Amino acid sequence: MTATSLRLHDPGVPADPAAALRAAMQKEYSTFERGVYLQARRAFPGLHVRELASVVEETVSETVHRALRAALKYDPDRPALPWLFSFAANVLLERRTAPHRKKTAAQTDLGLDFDSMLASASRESDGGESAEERQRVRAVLQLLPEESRQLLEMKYFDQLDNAAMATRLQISDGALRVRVHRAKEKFRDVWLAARAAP
Amino acid sequence: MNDRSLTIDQYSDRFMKALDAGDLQSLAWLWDEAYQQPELAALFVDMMNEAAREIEPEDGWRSEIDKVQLLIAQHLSTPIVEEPGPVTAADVAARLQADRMLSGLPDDDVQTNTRLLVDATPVPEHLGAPQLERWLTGLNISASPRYWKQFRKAAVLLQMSRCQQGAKLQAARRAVKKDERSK
Repeated sequence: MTATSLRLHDPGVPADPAAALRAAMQKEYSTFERGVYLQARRAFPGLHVRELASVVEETVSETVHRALRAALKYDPDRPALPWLFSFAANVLLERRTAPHRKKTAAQTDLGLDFDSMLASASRESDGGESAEERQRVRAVLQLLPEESRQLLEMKYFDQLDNAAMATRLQISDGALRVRVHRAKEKFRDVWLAARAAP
Repeated sequence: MNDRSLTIDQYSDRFMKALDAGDLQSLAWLWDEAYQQPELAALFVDMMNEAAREIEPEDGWRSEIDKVQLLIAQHLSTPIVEEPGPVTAADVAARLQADRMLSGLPDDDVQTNTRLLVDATPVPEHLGAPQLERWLTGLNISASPRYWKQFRKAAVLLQMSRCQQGAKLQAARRAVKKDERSK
């Protein structure tokens, strides 16, 4: 999806914000509903599928109501989906009664900088302690699923930029970023598991 | 969070972390940022679609809900009878989607159906070809004749089902009144 396709108003014609917002909602409805589902599922991980459906339906309905009420503040020259998703995130936030614990970097990766670790593993060895770590990084990479290993090698060893990687894999920039993120998570998990092992 | 000078990589990293952690505050802030930056908006929507694809069943998240609702309907001993309202364009579009009656239709028709999902215009009571044609002119929406044929079929079925629901409800009300009188 391109930035232009998110915008529905013809820049040459003065637009009524509410009408533009309604048109955007109609055109992007399924993407919007799907996005609300994803965010609700992440925010309420324990919900049964039926309860989740009801949360999604209520959130979509409340979001549309609030977005239309605030339509005068909407700029038809800007994309509508972020405007709607921002409302949706706030609606979901209000629903959440139990205190939510955010996963912080310290909780998930013990403050280790995996980006630098992977980047340094691609450099030539100069001996000493860092050389040992590079070897460990390479060993962990070998334990990853094929797709994750290839992605990380392309990014950190072949030093391809996102555009080149996306072209090579024939996927969009957004999809590539999600997959690289997942590959780094897998690397982190294996690294931490290997470190914890006796 | 008020850092307005992040790079695209930093934004996408924060977006993924917020999405995975269900961190709604950060997501609200990130969507606000995306509203100001159309390129960022396109990237977030793209990433969101990929992240949704990871967790969805093959035929979409709606199918999961439909299956659960079907099971519930099959296992309820007392059917729930709701007051039936008029059949709307949105009802028919939802039925077409749920019953997979859109497969094989061109993309333009699928998009038309998506637009109709939020259109609360009531469908005419008499669904003969001339009535439907007049109604469509008023809607100002175009689609292929095949789509409208499917639409008409689904609308007729929905109207029949609403009539049955209405009759059941009236019968239930009559039974309750009779019961009350006999006490």
